[in-house]
Amino acid sequence: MDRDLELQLVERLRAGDPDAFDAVHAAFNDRLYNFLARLSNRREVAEDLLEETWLRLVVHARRLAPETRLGAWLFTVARHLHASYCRSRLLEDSHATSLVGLWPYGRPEPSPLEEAEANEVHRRVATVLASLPLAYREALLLVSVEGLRHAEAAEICGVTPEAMRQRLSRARALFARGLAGGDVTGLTSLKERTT
Amino acid sequence: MTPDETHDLVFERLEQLPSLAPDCDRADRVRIRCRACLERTRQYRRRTTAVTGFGRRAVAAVAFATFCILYVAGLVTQLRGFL
Repeated sequence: MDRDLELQLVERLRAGDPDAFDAVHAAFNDRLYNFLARLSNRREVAEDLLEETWLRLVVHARRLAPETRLGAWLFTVARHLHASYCRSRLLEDSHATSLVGLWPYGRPEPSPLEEAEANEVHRRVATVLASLPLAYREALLLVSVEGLRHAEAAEICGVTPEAMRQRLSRARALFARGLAGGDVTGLTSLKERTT
Repeated sequence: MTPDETHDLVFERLEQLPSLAPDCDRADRVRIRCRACLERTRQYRRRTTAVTGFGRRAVAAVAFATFCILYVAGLVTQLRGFL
């Protein structure tokens, strides 16, 4: 999005202009959905988080800084919402485990997202991406899929640009190894990070 | 495989990922809901601003009128003293 147009939209959003919201929604809805769907691996979760992201924008519209970068702002909110969702899921799972004992947790059936992948190559790419640790997955999604700059992705993830570059480099290496048939989950000591 | 080749491969593969489309009906419902919310907030702010503006003008007018009355009353009192 053109920076001047973006600044105008921010100004109009601050004034509560619904047409400005429509323009922002049209520009970012699909991108945010893609990001959330690939991050969570579940369509219904992505839809819920997407809705919550837009509601956050409406609630905070008046308090946006005049020079806000809308893309970075929206992806940051979406990422935080996904992190909150992961934390609540973890809590629910731990409660369930304590109640029913050692119930095997996993993914017994392919998710709707996996089913939607049209062909073998897409499925393979999506599977490898989905199996990457969360921190690497979000780095790849933001930079390689969404085309954000390293600095923007770093800001969204709350890390330094240098850390983001390192993370991306490892993510790419893991991704390539996964495509070649290697195990991506066992190759790194980095835990799934939700924050 | 060199790092550059890895980089290219990753980009190429990720570009092949099909774009996922959200549920259009739900997206539209959310958009309309958000629009309505913004519209309500805007109308509320307009009303509040109008009421506050009127109140401010009324207070200023009353204060000015009071000052004028006191001034005239003081003037009249002084004139009576002279006469």
